Amino acid sequence: MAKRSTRVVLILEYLDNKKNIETVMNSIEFPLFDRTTQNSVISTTLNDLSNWSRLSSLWPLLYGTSCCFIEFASLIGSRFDFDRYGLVPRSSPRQADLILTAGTVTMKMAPSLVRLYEQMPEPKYVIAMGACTITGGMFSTDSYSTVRGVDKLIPVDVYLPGCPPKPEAIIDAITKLRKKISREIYEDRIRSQQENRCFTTTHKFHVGRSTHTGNYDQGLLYQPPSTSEIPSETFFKYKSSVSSHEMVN
Amino acid sequence: MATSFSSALSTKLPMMGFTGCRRDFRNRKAFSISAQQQAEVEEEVKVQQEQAQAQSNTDGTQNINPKGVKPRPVEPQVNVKSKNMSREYGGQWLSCATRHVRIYAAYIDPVTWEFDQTQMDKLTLILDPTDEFVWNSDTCNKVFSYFQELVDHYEGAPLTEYTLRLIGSDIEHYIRKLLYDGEIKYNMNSKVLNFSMGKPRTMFNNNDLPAQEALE
Repeated sequence: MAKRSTRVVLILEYLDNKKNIETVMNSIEFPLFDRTTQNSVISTTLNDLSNWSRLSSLWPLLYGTSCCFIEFASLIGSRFDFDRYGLVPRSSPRQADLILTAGTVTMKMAPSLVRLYEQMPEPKYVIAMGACTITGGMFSTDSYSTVRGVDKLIPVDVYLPGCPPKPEAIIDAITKLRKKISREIYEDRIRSQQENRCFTTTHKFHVGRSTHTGNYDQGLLYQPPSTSEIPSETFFKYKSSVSSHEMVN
Repeated sequence: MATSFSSALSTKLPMMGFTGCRRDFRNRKAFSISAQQQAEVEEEVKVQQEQAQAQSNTDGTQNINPKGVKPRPVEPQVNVKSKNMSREYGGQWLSCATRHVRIYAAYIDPVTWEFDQTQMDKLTLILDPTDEFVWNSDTCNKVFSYFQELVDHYEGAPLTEYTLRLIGSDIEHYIRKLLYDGEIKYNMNSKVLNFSMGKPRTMFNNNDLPAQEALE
């Protein structure tokens, strides 16, 4: 299978480098060599069949936050039809198996995106569409609220650059994702089950009342000032500005 | 205690907003709160719980550890049911969610994943649900003890998403530090290889070789 052969190539490269380089940052954990994977005709055929059935009917979630969604939506139309690839846009994450993050993800949107991703059933795939979702794009220098890249939130399979990427580029990304799915090995998928790394502790935070009561807070409503009162700040402000003016002269 | 704790952390904790919160809390309560007083503050918090439903579960008692470095997990509870998840409770899904750190203001049963939001005095940390790194129990306990330190440090802060996200981003920085120190590694068996905290690279050392990417 193609996936196994690329791993062998990478390991050989690293062993060559290891003689020369002393320290490695961000090191990687190598896979075990003694994986007992069957290589019979029947299991590979079944594997290919299951891969084919999944890649031919990838149903994307109808998700878009900003400009990239325009390009994604144009795919639904007749000119760049993506139904010919089997893609039917679904509104519910429970029925979708692909999420094309079309549009900038801000810190306000981030928990909702993670929640949508968690609600999708396995096997699920993510295409990070557009520069904003890859590294923050045009917002990566000065923005205070944009998440710099959606791979800080969810695992991404295919990165699709462009601002915005043309519909043909999106189709190219979908084709690459289909090729990636065709190389998957079923045993890898079932072996990697989730472990529980869950830790609960008590906290001493101040639990306040919820502000989502449905009523407007009366203190925040605009009260027009009554004309009989002159606010003392403006009075002193005028007075001080007059006095400073005198002092300058 | 507080000073030794802050020197141990290499990250800058945002003190401005936090001191503001603590000041309000002090004015409202009219007695001073220090990081070491735990018992009185705990009672205060319990009284002020808005959604007070009678809990039949016994609350797990933790060891009062003055250092606060050791993680103090709550004892596992039985018969946990998902409570307070519906819309009437105002969508109070108080959480911080990033790729490696999920913090929820609830009790989550580690086996059945039942999500009990009525226990608002608990914070649950779920570490790396997507398995981007390889974890063993030592490194997990390091992150848990750092989480415990942060929770103790933010004592008295309001239970808002803002506070939880501050804690979450500090934990993400700590995970990144662990990665750069070589204590945790990327998991090559995961379905996606994102290297979201930087590609593996070699550090500059005495050799004349330029810094290479060990993996393209």
